[in-house]
Amino acid sequence: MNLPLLALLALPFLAAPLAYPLRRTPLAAPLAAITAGLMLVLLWGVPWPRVAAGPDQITLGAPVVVLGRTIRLTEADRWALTALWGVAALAFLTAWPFPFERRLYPIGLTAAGLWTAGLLIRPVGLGAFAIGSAALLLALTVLGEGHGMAGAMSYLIAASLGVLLWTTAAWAAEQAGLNPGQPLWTLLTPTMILLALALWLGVWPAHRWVPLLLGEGAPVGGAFTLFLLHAGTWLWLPAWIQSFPWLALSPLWTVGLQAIGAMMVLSSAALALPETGWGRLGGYGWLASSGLSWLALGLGTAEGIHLSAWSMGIRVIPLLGMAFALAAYRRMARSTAFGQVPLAQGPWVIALLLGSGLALVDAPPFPGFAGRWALLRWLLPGRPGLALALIAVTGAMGWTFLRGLVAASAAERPLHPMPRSARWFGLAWWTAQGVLWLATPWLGSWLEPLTAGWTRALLG
Amino acid sequence: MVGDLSEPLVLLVVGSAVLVLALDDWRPMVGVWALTAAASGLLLQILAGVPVELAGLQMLSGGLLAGVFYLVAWRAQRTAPSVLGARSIVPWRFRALAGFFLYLLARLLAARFPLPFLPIPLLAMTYALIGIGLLMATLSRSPLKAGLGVLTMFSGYQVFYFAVQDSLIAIGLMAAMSLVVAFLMAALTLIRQERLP
Repeated sequence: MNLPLLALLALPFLAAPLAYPLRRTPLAAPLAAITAGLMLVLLWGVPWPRVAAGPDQITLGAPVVVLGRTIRLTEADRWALTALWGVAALAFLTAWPFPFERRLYPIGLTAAGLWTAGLLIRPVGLGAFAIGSAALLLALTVLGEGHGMAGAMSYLIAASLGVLLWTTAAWAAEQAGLNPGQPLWTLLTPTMILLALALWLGVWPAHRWVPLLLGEGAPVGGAFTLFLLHAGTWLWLPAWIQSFPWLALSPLWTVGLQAIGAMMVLSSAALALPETGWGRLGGYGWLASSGLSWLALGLGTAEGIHLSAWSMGIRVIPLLGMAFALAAYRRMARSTAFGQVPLAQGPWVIALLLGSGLALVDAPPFPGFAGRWALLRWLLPGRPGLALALIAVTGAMGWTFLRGLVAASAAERPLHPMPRSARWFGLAWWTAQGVLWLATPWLGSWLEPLTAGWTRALLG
Repeated sequence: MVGDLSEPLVLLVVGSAVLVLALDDWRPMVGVWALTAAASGLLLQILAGVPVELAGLQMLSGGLLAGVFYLVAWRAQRTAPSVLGARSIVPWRFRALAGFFLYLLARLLAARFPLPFLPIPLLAMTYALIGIGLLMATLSRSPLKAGLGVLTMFSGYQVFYFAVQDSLIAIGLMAAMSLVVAFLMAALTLIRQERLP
């Protein structure tokens, strides 16, 4: 019996009921963060024996079989779970100063636990239920301040439809294996996956929930939801490719991913132009940056896969910075509209909003610019129009964020004081950005195990 | 005999779903929705030859979900009347008409693009319920009705899924996901809308 693996699966579900009664106290955030830290300790501290589970598959410890289904941990899974739980720990700590983020701790632990189970379960179709349940549960984390309802409802509708599409895709993929040579299944499966991706990633016209989450919901809960839906799905897709290798050969696959990525980048810039609130802009900024990762993935080259993983990982810090700043802004002014908090009264909050916004859209000198530059270099010879549009997107999005800085201040009204934690968080955030900037050339090598799954499946 | 029953049953299921879409008062809405779930379970057993236990599972889960929604709405009447009473901006006549057109569209699609593993009436019902559920969820401003919409989508999908899927675990998990959605909608309806300190 692989006890460490069972502990890995059980720990979040044991911690969530403990976090629930403590959610209104300052103890919930450290408890949830410690649980996430323990998950990392389990992943890296346990001397996992390497077991040959198949002709070309090495697992960490023996796979566990439950009701005929296999649960196993591979090296790529270990890196995926490290990314997931590392960000979860950071998100729990980011939410600590804000009482209205209290639903994040129990729900976040449960959702991340379900996501973990979904990543490890085979067949992948059964994992879809665990991951789908996690996605649905996350709807509760965005409620917080009396007006997160519209975002939560929009999100729930998109997530539910996505779940139906994922389960249909899993069933269709199994049918393709049972009925070789029938084109219906090999066409239906990637179509369903791409439609599910469009809903879960918030691709226009199903984008409404993304800006609503950050604009009206609890910002850190919304950011964690966005991270799981976007990066978590990115981490889950190699399992699909490994289970159904013919999927990567479908012409729909690469074209679809590229179209999704390009649509996310371009539409978010166009939709962001008339917006006048930091929250909604943050949502569009995340869409634009995540779209770049999906576009790079759709290129189907080793460089594209590495760039995709790199850019998905590097933007976690801007996303969390944006979430913290939005929560602090809302704490001060009850709204995320421009001009509610003057620079003099909330300098760290405004600096965080602007910095994380510009970092999300890869404005120089933020580290994401290196990835965008590399992608532009690759795109320029074959698709100069798209490359130029990507440059224009950075300009347009950067301008929308800068516009927030110079927006006319709202009429004088009593504001809550800036949270004291904003200064410390701001210092940590800007330091992290500096470290990322300096470490940029070496970051790619850390991603090798994570991208190996993609690279092996796509390129052989 | 089976053929004779299928059309009236499909009409009953889709008609009751359209009625849920058009209604504003929560009591008849929940009652009619329970009828939709029960009739779709019956139809599954009659038309798709699904084992009676599975069709029973569909009916049982429909009944359970309707019970959950009834209790939630009953409680929300006192604690969150504004959330419960939020009405759609689209008048009921237009919603009913949209539901009717969706059914016609579903019939056309099912007849034009039939699937070999599912009878046409069931396929039409699947499309119609998913479409009506989506309409209900997107047009509604009350979480209770949006939840019924999402669950109508799920029940339409389950008609398809139960007919083609032979894994009992997958079927059980799909039914469990409906319960997750019901729980979420209950939470969204009843959650205290706190203000900042």
